[in-house]
Formats: sequence, C-alpha cells, structure tokens
Amino acid sequence: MVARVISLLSRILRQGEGATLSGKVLLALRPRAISELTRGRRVVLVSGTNGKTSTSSMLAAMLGEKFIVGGNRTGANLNTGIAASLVNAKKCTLLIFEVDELYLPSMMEATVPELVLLLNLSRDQLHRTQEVRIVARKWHEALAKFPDTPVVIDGSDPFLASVGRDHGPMTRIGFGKRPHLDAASCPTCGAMLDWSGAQFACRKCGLGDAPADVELGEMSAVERNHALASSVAQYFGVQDLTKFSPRDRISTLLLGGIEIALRLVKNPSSWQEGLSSLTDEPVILVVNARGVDGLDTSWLWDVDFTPLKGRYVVITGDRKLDAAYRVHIDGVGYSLVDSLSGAATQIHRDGFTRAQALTSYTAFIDATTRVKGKR
Amino acid sequence: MMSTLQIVVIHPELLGTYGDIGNARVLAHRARVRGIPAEIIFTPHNQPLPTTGDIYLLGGGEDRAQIASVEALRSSLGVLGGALDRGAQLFAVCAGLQIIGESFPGVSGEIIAGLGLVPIVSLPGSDRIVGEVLVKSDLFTEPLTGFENHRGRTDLGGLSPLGRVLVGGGNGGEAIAINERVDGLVAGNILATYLHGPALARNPVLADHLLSRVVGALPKVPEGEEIAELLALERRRALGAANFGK
Repeated sequence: MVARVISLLSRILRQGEGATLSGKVLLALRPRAISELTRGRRVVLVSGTNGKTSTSSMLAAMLGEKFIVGGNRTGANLNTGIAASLVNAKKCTLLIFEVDELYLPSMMEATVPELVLLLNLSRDQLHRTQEVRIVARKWHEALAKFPDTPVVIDGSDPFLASVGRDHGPMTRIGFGKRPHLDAASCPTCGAMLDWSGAQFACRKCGLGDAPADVELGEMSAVERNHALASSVAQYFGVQDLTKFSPRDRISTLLLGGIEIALRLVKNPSSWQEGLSSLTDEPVILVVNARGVDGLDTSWLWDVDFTPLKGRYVVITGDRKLDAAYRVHIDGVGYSLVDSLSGAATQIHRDGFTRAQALTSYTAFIDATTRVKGKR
Repeated sequence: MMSTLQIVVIHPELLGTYGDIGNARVLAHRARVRGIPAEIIFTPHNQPLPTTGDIYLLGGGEDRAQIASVEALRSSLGVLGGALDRGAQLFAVCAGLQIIGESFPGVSGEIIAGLGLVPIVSLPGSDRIVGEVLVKSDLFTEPLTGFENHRGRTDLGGLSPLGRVLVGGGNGGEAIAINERVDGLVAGNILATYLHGPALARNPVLADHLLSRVVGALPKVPEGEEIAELLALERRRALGAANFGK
C-alpha cells in the first residue's frame, strides 16, 4: 500500500527530482524498505569510481535477454535512488543497482547481492571520500562479511586487486598494465609498487601476484566496462552477446540551434578518457563544483588538456575560471560564456551545427533532465 | 642570457593527490611569460633529488604515501638542506608542510619523524577539516584563497605563519578561536601552507612572490595572462573577502 501511494506520488513529480524523492519518502516511512523489498530476490550491485551508470545499462540490456530487469538506471545511486527504483519493480526477476562507492557496504548488507561487479577505483570527490585508500579499506571490510558472494573485478586496478585480495569467489579480468594516478604505493601495505614488469607488483605483500582469470589486454574504459558486464551476463547464463556493443553514457541535446553530445566527466580519469574521445567538432567544457562534483577543483591540474590545443573551445559552469586558467597553462585557446545555452548560441552563430560537451555531474543532470522534462 | 630556472617537483607520484603538479606548471608558466626560461624536473621517490634546483615543491598526499615519501627523503636531507643554504626555495603544501617538521601523525595516529627542517609538530585532529579557506598574509594586499582537506593540526612552535585565517581551519582548526587561527609558515627560504587549489594557481601573487625570491623583482606579466587575476578575484569574492577589510 505504501509503495502504491509513493508510486503515484513519483509519477506526479517531475522525473529529475522524482528519481530520488519517492525514495526519500519511502525510506522515511519504511527505513528498512530496501532490505524488505529485495529479500529473496536476485540482485547485482555495480560500483566503481567511473562508468557505473553506463555499465549498469549495458548489463541491464544484456540480462534483459533472459530476465525482467529492474533497478536504478539514471545515475541516482545513493540509498534514496535505489529505494525509488524499487517502488515499481515488483514484476522484475533481476535487480541491477549501481551503487555509490561509499554506499556499497550498506547496500550489500541491505540487498544481499548474488554478485558484485567492481569497475575501478581512483581519486574522486576527495572532500567526501577523503582518500581512495579509505574507500578501498571499507570495500575490503564489506566483502569480508560476504565471503561466498561472487565478485567480478578489473584485476588490472591495484585498488580492486587489494579490495579482493583474500576474497574466495573472485573473477579477475585483466586489461594489461594500466598506469594508475593513485597507486605508486601499494593500496594494501603501503610499500612502493613495482611497475617495471608486465603488471604492477608489490614485493612486500604480494599484491598483484594473483593471475587474471582472463587477460584481455589494454582497451578504452567503455570497452573494459563492456567486457566486465559481458562476464557478469555470462555468469547469469546469457551467452550470445554479439549484438551488444560498448556504449558510453552520452546524451544528445538540441539547444540554441545545434546538437550537443553531452558526456559526463567527473574526475581526472574520466576527463582524460573524455578528452581522448573527442571528434573535430567544437568542444564545450562545463565545470561545476557543487557537492557531488567535488568541492575542490584542484583535480583539474591532474588532467592533461593538451588534446584541446587548436580546437574550438568554449568554457562555462560555476568554476569556468578555474578551468580556463588550467587550459590556458596548457596552451589552449578558449572563450568564456555564462551558460550552456550561451555556448550553443555562440557555436551556432559561428556556423557549426554540432558540438560535444564534457560536463561535470551536476551540469550533466541539469542539461539532461531539462530535455526530458521540457522545462 | 638568463640561466634556466629549475623547478623540482619532489615525489609527484606520492605527493600529488590534490592537483599539486599545478603549482609547478604555474611557476614555470609565469616565469616563461616574463622571458625567464624555466624547466620542471619531476623527481620520483626512487631517484636522487637534483642538487641544482631553484624551487623545490612538496605537495599533498594520502597518509601512507606521505610516510613513504618522508622515508625516501631522509637520504636526500643533505641535498635539500644544502639547496636551502645556497638560496633555493622550498614550497610545501599540506602533507608537505607536515613532512618538513619534527613529526606528524601516521595512519593510526602513531608519531612519524619528519625531516626536521623546521621546529613544527603536527598531531591528529578530532576530525578532518575540509573546505574553502581565506587567509590574510602580511606579504600581500589581498587575501589568499584555497581549499583545505586535512586531519593533521600543526603547531608552529613560535615560527611565523603565512597568514591569519579569515575563513576555514588552517594549521589549528576549530579548536583555535577564529581570530587566532593561522595557516602555513614562513621561515627563511621555506614557505608552507595547507592551501590546495592549487595554491599558486588560485593565488598568482603567491606564485610571483616565490619566483621573485629566486630571480629578484619581476616585471608585470604580459597581456593575455589576465585569467589568473580574474580567477583569484572571483575566488576571493566567493569567500566574501570584501567583508574582512584589509
């Protein structure tokens, strides 16, 4: 009954806010709702610093071959977003939840997942997570409480290798040797990692010694996530995955007479990935520093912006000046505008019909919900 | 013919968690636009510190990385001390500030010996201080801004701070009354702060101050560099700097 009323409420509410508001209401009325509504059901949790939403979507599409899949698909990955997605999920035969890094331990307790997929772990929102190593330690403790739960990881990520170092049912998928901004020292014991070989290795505690179950070699982030999702899909008995190709979380927006392909970027690793995927069209950078974006913009200096050299670049967002000075130091020319619409107008005026935007989390949500809600 | 200014980034792979590399980039950039050739030398923990540096930079890092860095630096202490003696500058941020002192807290609060370049002591605080900071230093007309993210509290042991904290925690955090809160330190050729941002990107006056300590009086930056001041101004305004007078 409670769920019915909330379901009605959530339909009345706008989609953007409705994605978590109905969850807030539900959790206020039934604090243990997530646990109650997932009891006895098949649940997969997906977490990591980058790619949670796109990977969960790819996985949901793959598992849709065999199951009626439910769960949070819009990036609302705190307990409220997860609760909201359960309101209308009665008929689903499998639930896939993407989970915020800090919420993973409590969501494991609440949902008792059948499998956990961990994508990667690197610096992000340090004002909130403090240190990548602290998140890794919390995950390690969380897995210890579920010693029999299968976990699939990118085994080339030293932090995930550390998280799963003594976990029994662990599938490590290798993606070659990938440099990691936060892993000069061992995430487990603090000794310096040896990166001189084919893989990272800790000479002190042996992190990195466990061989990958499958070694796929180097590939882009979206391809890695696709491979990880495929592995999970196969675990659930979906074997033919030929029609599912790697798909990024890109939203298209018509604004100011042009078409903008929006890509969410939120930390050094995802920015670098975004910058490496640019086409020749004008580039809009939208940099905010509100809550989930990370309040500290220092990370801008960990990103190499030289791929923007010689391009048509427009910068906007609350912290556009931080971004502007950053790209200026890398020899990138740019213009500043006050809003995404302002950027679109200028680009249209200059004779272009398309642009690509790299946007902070809050800017991405703003822009994409505006389209859907037709505000 | 001016000799090339050498900017040494100490252990960027360990002490670079908060975009600290930006401090080196800004220094090099602001030197170059004034016609002063500059190079950035990245020195990882397993390589000896160059003896010829003009400005040495220590950045912020996670607890374990900070300990690994100080252990690696012990053998280079002579190089660093020698460089300071011949007039090189050291700019240390956050974990870097703690490292140069007598001691700092380890992962579980245990006491780790620092490099002892300055007689300061850092202890663990009750919680982490995270947020924007506004600091008024006597060195500059306008206040400095930055972002702090640290658990350690630092007692300067009588040394001069970089400035008074107008907004934020600084060295002492909330245990110290706001009108007595200070940030960082200035001691001979050493300048240190808890400010990230990076500090030299958000405060061009601080970058220029460091440069001028090495090369003497600096000409104005040429046209085309206004963005640095625009950013500094915007950040000061965002922190309500005008409310604090001069």
